[in-house]
Amino acid sequence: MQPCKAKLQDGKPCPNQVDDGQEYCFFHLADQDSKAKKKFSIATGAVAVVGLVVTGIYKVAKFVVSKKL
Amino acid sequence: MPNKDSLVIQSSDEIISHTALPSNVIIFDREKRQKAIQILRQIPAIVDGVKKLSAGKTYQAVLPPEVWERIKDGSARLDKKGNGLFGALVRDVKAGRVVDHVDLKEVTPDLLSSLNQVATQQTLADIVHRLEIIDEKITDVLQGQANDRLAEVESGIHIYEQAVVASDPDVKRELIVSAIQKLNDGRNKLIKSIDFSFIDKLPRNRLGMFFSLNWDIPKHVQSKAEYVWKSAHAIIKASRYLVLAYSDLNQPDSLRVSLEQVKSEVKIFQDKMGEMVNMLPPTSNWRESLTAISQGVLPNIHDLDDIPQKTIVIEFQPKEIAPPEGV
Repeated sequence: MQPCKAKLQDGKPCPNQVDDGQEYCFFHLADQDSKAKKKFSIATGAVAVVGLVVTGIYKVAKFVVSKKL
Repeated sequence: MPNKDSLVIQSSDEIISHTALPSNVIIFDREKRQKAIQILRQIPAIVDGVKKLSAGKTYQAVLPPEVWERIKDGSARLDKKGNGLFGALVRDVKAGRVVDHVDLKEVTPDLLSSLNQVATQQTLADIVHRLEIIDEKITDVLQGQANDRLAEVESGIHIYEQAVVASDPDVKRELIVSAIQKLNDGRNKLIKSIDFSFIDKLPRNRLGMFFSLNWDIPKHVQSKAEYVWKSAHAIIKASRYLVLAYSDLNQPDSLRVSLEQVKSEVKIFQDKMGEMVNMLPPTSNWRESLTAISQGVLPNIHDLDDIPQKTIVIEFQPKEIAPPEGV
């Protein structure tokens, strides 16, 4: 069993042991995954919001133009 | 460095013990010795033994460890006097010369039995103390959270507490037996009911984690670990009270059997707890207690093997222990 490569906030090495073939302990792997998923979730959310806004603007603009014509 | 298994309580302020090697002696100052004597006064078996001190004469042979080793390996033997009696000399088997004199100390059979009881209780007290330390580490964080599934253990503890205050010896014994039954049942059910399968279902690499249905795996592990942790807390509590209850009945062998019965399950339990430690945040306040649990949820059965090897030498005047006549 190898020690985890991650460092704690106080700069000390993580005391957890890693699984075979891994560089980080289960917790840090899961934590990295969780952070990545959160970023992915935020990005997806942002894209969805931007998409909705753009669609909304487009529809409003189209409505206004069709009224003028 | 004194041997921690030897306790010498001397009968006066002199620092010379006639019955123990200096390396085995812990010197008690006046205040500590007085406290020890007070403890002895509270053990009925000791008081009874002291009252009967003049009833019979039995001599205890005190042999230095090196001579005892030679007798065990057969290179030396006690002087045979015939009729099953031995003399107070130790002879070299080959040369036939005297290699040591045996020191004899007068004790009575009743006192010997009392001393054995004290040795047993001392070992059990050590085990309880170790479990208390683990328990405290967990209790500090749990702060009295209750769980219905742990009710059987709690019930056993309540019955034991009732037994402690019972004045009738028969009622006390009945309550202790009942508490033991509850505690054993509760502990065994908990050990068998804890589900560790979630550990095996967890993905162990980044790719597996990314495609896992669990959005926040650390949070998921913590929520599952909390129940296991609470159960471990109850198991340790039950174990602590079981040791106390068996100690009150002076039945270390029964405790040994109760430990043997759950030995294999406990091994799995401890291994899984050890695995779980690496799944929790390193800064978690659970970490220390989970690590402590993974190293020993139950008293080590081998701790009980030490009971016959304990050497407790107590020297005192009978009048210091026994109440004055007529009391």
